Amino acid sequence: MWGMPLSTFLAFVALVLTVLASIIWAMLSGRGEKQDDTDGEA
Amino acid sequence: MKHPIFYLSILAVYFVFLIIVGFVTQKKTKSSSDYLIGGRKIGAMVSALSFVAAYFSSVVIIGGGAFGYKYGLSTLWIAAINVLLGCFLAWLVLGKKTRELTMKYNAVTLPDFFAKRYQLPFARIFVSLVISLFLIVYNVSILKGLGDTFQVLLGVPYVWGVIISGLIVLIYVSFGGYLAVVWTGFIQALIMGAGLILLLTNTLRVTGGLSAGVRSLSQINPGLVETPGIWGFPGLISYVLVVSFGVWGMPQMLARFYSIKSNKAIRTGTIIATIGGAMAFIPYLVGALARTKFPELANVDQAIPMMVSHFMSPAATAIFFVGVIAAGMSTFSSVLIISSGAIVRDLLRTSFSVQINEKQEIHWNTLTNVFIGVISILIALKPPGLVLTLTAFSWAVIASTCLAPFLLGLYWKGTSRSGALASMLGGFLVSILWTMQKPPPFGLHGFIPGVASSFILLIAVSLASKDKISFLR
Repeated sequence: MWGMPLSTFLAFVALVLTVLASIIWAMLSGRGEKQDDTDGEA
Repeated sequence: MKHPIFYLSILAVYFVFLIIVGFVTQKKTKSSSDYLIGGRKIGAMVSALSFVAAYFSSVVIIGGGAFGYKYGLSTLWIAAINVLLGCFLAWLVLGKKTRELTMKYNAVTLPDFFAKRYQLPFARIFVSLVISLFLIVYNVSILKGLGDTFQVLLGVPYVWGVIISGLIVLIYVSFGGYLAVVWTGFIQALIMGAGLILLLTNTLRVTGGLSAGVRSLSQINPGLVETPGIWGFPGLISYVLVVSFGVWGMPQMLARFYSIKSNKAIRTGTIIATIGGAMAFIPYLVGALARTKFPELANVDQAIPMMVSHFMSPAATAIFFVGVIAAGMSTFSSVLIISSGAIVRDLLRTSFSVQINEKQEIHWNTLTNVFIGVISILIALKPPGLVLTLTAFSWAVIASTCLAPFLLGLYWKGTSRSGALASMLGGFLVSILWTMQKPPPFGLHGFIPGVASSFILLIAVSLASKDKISFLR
């Protein structure tokens, strides 16, 4: 892929998967948890 | 250097802007809690991007390019693991727990948290001393990086680079405290991002795209496109662990979790910090591809500056310059505020019972910031040999002292007072003694044995002792 060996290409894949994992985790952990009552100002 | 007046003018505008932020945030700082952690009211975007800005200093940008140039594309794994461990998992594991427990214990600094979590006043004094002493050394290394950056990128003498950038940070941190640190950090992360994206697009343009660049690199040495390639697994893995897990024990990074306003903001911040942290891969990639254009560089630190000076337009170059300077300044300011908090709040006010009210504490913090900042600048102008040696592992000593008792203090009910004490002292001593060996045993950075021994001591001594400290409910 892009002329590089698979082991190096996987670094890009790991980067993208980490970003996706953070989005999925934030969505799942937010579900069911009520709005935090300690929300402050800005 | 072409267009020096143009670049310096852009930099001057940026500096004036930072000072204005310092004055504006000063008006919002009413208490010592505001000064040290922004009154726990910082939003997700500002917390996350200021975290990223504090993580990546100018040394990482220029040094990351040098690593990429030297070892090739395997260094992309450094960025990938940095984002996974240093950003995503750091926020996921530490964020919510840190915020909740520091609120319960009413702790605004790391030494304060240790003293209250373990009912161990000695920990406040010991950790404050370690933090204030070794963060000053760390300050010197950041200022040295800034001075080098001014010299290499702008042709400004090293001494003036240190003085100018150091004094600007001192001004805005002294006036605006933590609020100034995070708001300038937020802006600095945006500038760093813009500068790095411009660097990447220009690099891909001149190398004919990623595929063509990788082919050219492979022709120079196939080891430069493979993993672990010419670096080898031991070097790559130990380096990745050091720069990714180190963040977990650094007080200036953990402060972002005390100060964030809600658990919802932590969830949003986790995504933003992970995406923001992803820009870490750019210096390594550009450094590696720079070898296709400049295969015979004598000094690998010149990899990125050469790409910038040869292939970027004056406007793009100006943004990149400001971005690199911003990276160093954001780290310096984050460290400065933590050092003054450790000295004034933890040592003077709490440990030595100096009677000062809220307003006086802000003034004392301001004076301490100026004192530490000036000392750091003076040492950085001509660092003695010992300081230069210490800079290489100052942050590792802090992380080895703090990481295990902090992480297990958040999650493990079985921690004991004597376990925490053994862990802090053991991690501190092992990391120092290990690094003083020349060369270090097994080629390992002092951080790895320091943190490992700290974890082992905390678990073993806690299991063997009976003075367990339960969580505050």
